[in-house]
Amino acid sequence: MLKRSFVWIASLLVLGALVFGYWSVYARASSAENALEAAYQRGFYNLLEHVNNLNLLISKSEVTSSDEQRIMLLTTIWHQSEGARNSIASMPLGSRDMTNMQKFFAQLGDFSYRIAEKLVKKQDVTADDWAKMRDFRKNIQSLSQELRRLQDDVAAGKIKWQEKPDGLFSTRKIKGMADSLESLDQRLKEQAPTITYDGPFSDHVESPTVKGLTGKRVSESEALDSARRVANKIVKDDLKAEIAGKTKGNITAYTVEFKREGNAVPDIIMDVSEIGGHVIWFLNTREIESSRVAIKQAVDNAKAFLEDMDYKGFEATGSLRENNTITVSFVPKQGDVLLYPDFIKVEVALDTGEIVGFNASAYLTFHTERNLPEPKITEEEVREKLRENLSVERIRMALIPDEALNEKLCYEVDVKLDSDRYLIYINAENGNEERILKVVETDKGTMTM
Amino acid sequence: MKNKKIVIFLMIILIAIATGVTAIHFEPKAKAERYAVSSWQGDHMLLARLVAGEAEGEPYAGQVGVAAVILNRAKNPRFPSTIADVVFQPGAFESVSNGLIWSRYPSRTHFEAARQALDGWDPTYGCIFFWNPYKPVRGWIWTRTIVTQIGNHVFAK
Repeated sequence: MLKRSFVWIASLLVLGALVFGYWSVYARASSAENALEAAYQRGFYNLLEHVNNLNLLISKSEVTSSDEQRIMLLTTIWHQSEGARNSIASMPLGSRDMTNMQKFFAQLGDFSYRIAEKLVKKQDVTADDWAKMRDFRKNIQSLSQELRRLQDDVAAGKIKWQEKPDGLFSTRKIKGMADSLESLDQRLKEQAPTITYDGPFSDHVESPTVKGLTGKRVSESEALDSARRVANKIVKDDLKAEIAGKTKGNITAYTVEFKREGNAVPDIIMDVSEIGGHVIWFLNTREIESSRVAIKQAVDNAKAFLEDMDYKGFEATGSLRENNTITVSFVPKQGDVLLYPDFIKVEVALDTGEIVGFNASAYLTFHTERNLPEPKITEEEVREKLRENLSVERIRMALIPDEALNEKLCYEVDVKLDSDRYLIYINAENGNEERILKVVETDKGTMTM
Repeated sequence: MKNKKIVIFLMIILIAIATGVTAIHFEPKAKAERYAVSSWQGDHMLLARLVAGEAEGEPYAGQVGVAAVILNRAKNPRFPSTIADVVFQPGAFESVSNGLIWSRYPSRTHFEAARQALDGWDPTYGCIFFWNPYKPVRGWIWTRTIVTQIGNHVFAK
């Protein structure tokens, strides 16, 4: 009798505990799901608002007859476009193709910012610029309509973020938001034009024209030969070299792997360009032990290696020490002008002083004999322009790239304000201040930011 | 005999209660205590974690490539503009969705690969996509221009 009631009580307890367990898991899952749905809906409604604002702002910027007002409107467009980008990125669309919508807003904002900049600098805004703006507005208008339609469906509960069966036993799925947004993205892909202008998000920045490759097309075995010649400069052992693949980026390259006898993993990986057989970059993947080599010695080694590679007349412009290696940046010169876009990096292991890394991809992409303009401003005039509280340490000429890859001939003015160091770049043609870099001494080396 | 049954019953009850209790007190492991203060170190850590989550067992060049793709995305108008926004874009990376990015601590090699990418090495020449061609992926991704394959990943623009 006792035994029987015990079984009953125990079974009820088990059942109770299981129900409780299930319930608490379910409650957690469902509250997590609701929190996600809320975050995603927030992203959607914010996107909607940004698009509506953009529609309004663009049309106002076309109507206003005051340049001051127009500048304010254009910078607000930039701000709202960035907001739209953030909203898209917060929605669960990471595995979808949302790249066209993202790019559309990025370019709209960037382009508006550039126009505002032109107006501030009293430069001409061309009819073509305004035509581009009108194209943006046309696309914003249709996007805004589509999004509002989607919003109606959301409000009616027809559409949700999380695709799940409609009720416990139904197999019918609620149509997901992601599908609808992806189809809007695909429409933009067809409608939004590719545009080129002076900004970091212009279409030309993504794939710059390669200028630094000289020579003729080389075969696989010629590429292997030039890879071997470089490998012999950095390691003493005889490594087995083989072509591991071909890379069709902006520079077409053979990937060469060097292996020690019996090793499965390559010791050195090296890319050699198909045009000219230049070594674009390499990495020695060996473990590097604790530092024994002095920094000065390492920098000298890097410089000697560069000269050995026939890159002559380079100047070391910075170095960064991490773990047990140091990476030194070098810049070539044309006359006495430093060509910053054409930098080469050399990495030195601090245990033996060997070269373990090399990267000339910027040099091979950008280097060419430049047609440098005559400076219209003298060094004296630059000194006079500077604020009085700055003490000038050094002035030299440099070519620097801006965000849109335009190159500008500048005076690089190395100044000190109290104990802080800055590099100020003054355009040698028009005296504009192009950029300021703060130079920070860290225990890793000198960093500019 | 009787005692044995009681023990078994008690055990079942305990297990059932434990399930419920752990379900309530289970805390997500996504703690950020390991983040360093400086932004470089923060980026380095995040990149290394993503490399560990996405490219474990891949050749070194492939690991540098995965880190480079993140950096390329942050510069590209088609993607968000910070490393954190790129990494945590919902649904963008499997290892973020399934939590691998938190449960697997990066090895020395992963940190090295992340560092090398931050220093400017890019074996993918500006790619913004990578995927494993032997696993099912969404069809649209195959319309991108493939630049190279390193190990089990294809890289594309």
